Amino acid sequence: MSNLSYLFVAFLITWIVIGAYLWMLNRQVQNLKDEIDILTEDSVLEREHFSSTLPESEGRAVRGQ
Amino acid sequence: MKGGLAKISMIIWKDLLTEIRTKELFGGMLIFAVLTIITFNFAFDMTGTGKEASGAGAMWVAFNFAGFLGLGRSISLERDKGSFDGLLLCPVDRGTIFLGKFIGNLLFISLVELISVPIFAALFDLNVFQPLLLLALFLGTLGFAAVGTLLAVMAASTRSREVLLPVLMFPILLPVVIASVRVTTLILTGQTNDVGAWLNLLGAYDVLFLAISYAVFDRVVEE
Amino acid sequence: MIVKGKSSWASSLGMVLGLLTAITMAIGMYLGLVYAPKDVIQGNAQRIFYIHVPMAWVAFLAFGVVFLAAILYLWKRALIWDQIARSSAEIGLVFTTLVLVTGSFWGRPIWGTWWTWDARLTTTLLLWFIFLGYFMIRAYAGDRGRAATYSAVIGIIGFFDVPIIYESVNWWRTLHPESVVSVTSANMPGEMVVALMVCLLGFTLFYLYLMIQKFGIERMKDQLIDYQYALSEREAEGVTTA
Repeated sequence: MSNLSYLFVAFLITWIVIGAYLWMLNRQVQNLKDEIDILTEDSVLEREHFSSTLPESEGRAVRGQ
Repeated sequence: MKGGLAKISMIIWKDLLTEIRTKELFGGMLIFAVLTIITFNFAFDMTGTGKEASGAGAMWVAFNFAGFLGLGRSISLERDKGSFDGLLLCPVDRGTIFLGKFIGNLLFISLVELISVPIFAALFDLNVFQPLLLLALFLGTLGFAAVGTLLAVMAASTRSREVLLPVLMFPILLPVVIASVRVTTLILTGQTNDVGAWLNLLGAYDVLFLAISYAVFDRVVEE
Repeated sequence: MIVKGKSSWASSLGMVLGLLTAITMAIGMYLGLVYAPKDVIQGNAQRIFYIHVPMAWVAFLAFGVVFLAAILYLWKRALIWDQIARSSAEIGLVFTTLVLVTGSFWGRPIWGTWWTWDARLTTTLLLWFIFLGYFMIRAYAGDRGRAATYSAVIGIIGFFDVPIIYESVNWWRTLHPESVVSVTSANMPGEMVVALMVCLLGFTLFYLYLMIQKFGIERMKDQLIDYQYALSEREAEGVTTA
């Protein structure tokens, strides 16, 4: 049943690549959010500049006020 | 319309004059084409029955590579010297500039082919002077020049332009390569039944991509 | 002051979609690997079909989205269209790569070869190169606007090119026919059809989920660039007015 090994490898590669890509995307989101946090640390106004892309904004208390 | 035609001619004439004065491009392209053809002779068996197919492939590879060389260098020379920006400052419709460049490139590559084809025919002992074959040659070159002019202008304003242009052109031009080589092989081996269909494909490709290139050129040269 | 926006809407949509995707995919995988009958001729290797075909569909769907977004960008000049285009292009490139790989693993036990120049495979390979060209020209283009414009041109030209590539390879091969083994819908048992449909749905949902994620990322990237630019402008002004 060596056909099964091809099936297995194909699925394995697929899910590893998909998993890696998802992980990469997640890391990109984290890095960008961190960068935005650093840049807007001192100002509420700047935070609004990014408001439409920060999903957790509504849960955060505002600093520096 | 008359004014447009005159402007196109001026653009072509300017490029022609530049080339005649500097002789940089044409010589290089020609030598490159001939060398490629000669190399193919040693790479493939040119004496057996596969001669026509290998020959067709050799010819088109030679012209394509020479074409990449010519396209890339002609635009980069202009960009580097700043004469392209000068051209853009003129009150000329962008589409007109594209047509001028396109016809200029078409002429250059055709000239290279004009000289290479007899050499190729002699070296490989193949009768290439048949009207259908010359038509295929023309249509293939036309498609190459249309897409090539647009992509060369784009690639020229980037770093690493010599590498980028072939990479961009290869997938886009594949249908032309397939069709041209196939048609050439068919004509050389005397199997003319499918030739009409392939020539139609080439013609349709040319019309479509000439139109698209003309349409987007405006956006491409916007600063 | 708490900042709310359409962001929370997008985020919940993302989560719901992600969950839906995971569930559908899980069901699809079960259907494909267990429920569907083993192919009489090809054996178990045929089951690669249940990820290969949906991923091919997603790859071409992604490319279609790139095409539309590219046209809209050249027309409207709004960066959002470029954000959509480059997000879809990246996802498309990933899936095209996987299609080629899974295709090879399917082909090897069936045809005895890792690759064959049939119309479908060749077109997929060329699509991969078009995606590559899309990102190469972005990388070398210099500024953001040029990258967006040039890659949009590649997206548009490439899209018109793909069907022509397919047809010309098809015609070319009529002179050299080789057996192309695939499962046509004409003789596919019902269970296989169901499994395929569910997997198709799963991967399509997955594409949408990835798009939302990637688009958000690209949007943030652009906003960061804008912000840093505005910041440096303000600093320059500060110097002159001080």
